[in-house]
Amino acid sequence: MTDKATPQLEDIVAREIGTPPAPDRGMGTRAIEYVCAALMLLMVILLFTQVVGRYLLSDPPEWTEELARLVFIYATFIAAAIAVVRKAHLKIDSITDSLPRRAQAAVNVIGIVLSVVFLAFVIYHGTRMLGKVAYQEFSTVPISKAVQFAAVPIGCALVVIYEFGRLWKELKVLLHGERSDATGMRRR
Amino acid sequence: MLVLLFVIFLVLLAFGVELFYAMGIASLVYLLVVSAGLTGGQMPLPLTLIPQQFMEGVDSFPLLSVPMFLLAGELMSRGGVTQRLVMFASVLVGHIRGGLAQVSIVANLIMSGMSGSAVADAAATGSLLIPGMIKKGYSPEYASAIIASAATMGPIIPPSLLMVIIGSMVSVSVGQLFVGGIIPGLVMALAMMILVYRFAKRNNLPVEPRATVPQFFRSLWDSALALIMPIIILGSILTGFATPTEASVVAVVYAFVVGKFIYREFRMSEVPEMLVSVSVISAAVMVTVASAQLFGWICTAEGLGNLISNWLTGVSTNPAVILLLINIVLLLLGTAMEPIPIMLITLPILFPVVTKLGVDPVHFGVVVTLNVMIGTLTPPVGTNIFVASAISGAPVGKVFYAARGFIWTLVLVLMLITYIPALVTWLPRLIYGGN
Repeated sequence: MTDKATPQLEDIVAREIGTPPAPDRGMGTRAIEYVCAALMLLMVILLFTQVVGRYLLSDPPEWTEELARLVFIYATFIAAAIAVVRKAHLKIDSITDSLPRRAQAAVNVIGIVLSVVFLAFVIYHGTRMLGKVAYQEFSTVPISKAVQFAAVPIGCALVVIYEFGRLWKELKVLLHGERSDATGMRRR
Repeated sequence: MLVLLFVIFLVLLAFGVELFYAMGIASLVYLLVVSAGLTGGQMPLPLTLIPQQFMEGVDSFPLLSVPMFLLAGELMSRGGVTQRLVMFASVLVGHIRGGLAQVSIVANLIMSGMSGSAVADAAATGSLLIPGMIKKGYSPEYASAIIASAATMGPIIPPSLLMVIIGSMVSVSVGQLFVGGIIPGLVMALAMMILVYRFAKRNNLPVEPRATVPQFFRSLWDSALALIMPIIILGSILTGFATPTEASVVAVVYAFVVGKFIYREFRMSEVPEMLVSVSVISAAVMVTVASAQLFGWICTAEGLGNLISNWLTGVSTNPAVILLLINIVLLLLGTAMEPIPIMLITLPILFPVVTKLGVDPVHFGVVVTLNVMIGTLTPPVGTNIFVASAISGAPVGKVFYAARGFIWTLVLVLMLITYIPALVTWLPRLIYGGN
């Protein structure tokens, strides 16, 4: 029981309480993290402006809500890329958990390839979508809806990059065995 | 076609593919098959449905409160708010039989009024109280079981991330769900305190010395700023002064000011990582919501709701029986899955069916929330138990066993609120009016 639960534990704590960043992360990852932090801060500022405007100045600014939603959508799809590295995406425990690491890697490779194919469709059709909504605008700010919808292909493109990184690591395990397990999973 | 959709989804899920992708891939295969005309006679669907439904899922103002409440919770635990609340709880109920165990329950009750997440509550109160309980002679597994169980109040007592997610998926007011959770949350606290009292009496567990009046006021003064926080959050939502999203940002600003400038417990340099960490947890939930929206759209288009509805009403048209069935199915799912995934998969299907039978949507929302929270205590997958056992170092299996009394108690509370709907609906009706 304990032995089985221990590797899960890290994943769960990671998922629910947030993982510390990997110390060896590259410049690109750091840059994306800063973007995420900035978007969160911007959301706090926009929403707080709305509260202050509405209750203290009794002059509800109308643009804050739409802009906050736009920022939230970007934060969601961009931070989804960091969630890949920090293993934060929601999943249930795999029935392959008790198999040898190499067999798990084989299953993971298939899963990641399918996921990347799905993301490719999302990016392609997400980009096509932009043309359809280009002439619609937000109701309070003169921004095209295409800006909002661009969050999906942009975010998913970043996610694909990190999924390729994960695919590479799983392939190494598959080809060379447990020894080169570089996924950062500490196993007893 | 529905069979194909679900088989692909469940196989991928079982092999450890993330929910975001598993629901997306299943939906994509469905859309491709339909577009290729393989099903015959069906209108082809454009694949731009994918980004369109993704956006439909996440472009929602109430959902913005999810990262905000997470951030407020993060700021509180790093800002020293949690420690002061635990101190206050201990002068309040420490002298009752089972002292620190009672403190754990009351501390979690107060924490629930500020944070929206059970696991965060378990981690925050557990790291302070579990070592204390072990020192006082509690077994590590019982100490962990208390914290894990008490933390299930988090999403029942407002604010609640789970309720925000329910409100974004089906048409029910988040504010009313919040208010509806208050009495059930208090009933949970009371039931667990009675259980602990009886256990403590049987095992002769120690009590803490009763706090003197000056000690009480000193602790009240110390924690006053922390105690005001749930009053601000709940008060502004209850009075209709602010929407849950607005209340959540007020909570963030308040927790920041108190933690940074009054208690002075964190440094500015820690803030960026808090923001990143919160954005990542929020994103992981939101992309799953996006994918679930697409998946749910297809299920609706395929008439899954009618199918389930016909099947359920074939068993019985009595809402009491249907609710019992749903409770049992969700509890079973809860043994293996976590709360948010269960809700994302089942609610869009169950909600319309149940409300058509005349069940109050707020009532059903709260019942489901408590139900999936019990799932965080049941083996094999119980997140609250995992976190509490990680803190105490007690083996997971022993903690599951020690928590059995709490699980039965909470199931009893679940049955109580399922069959006495007024426990949930009385307060929202009093405040928001309506029938």
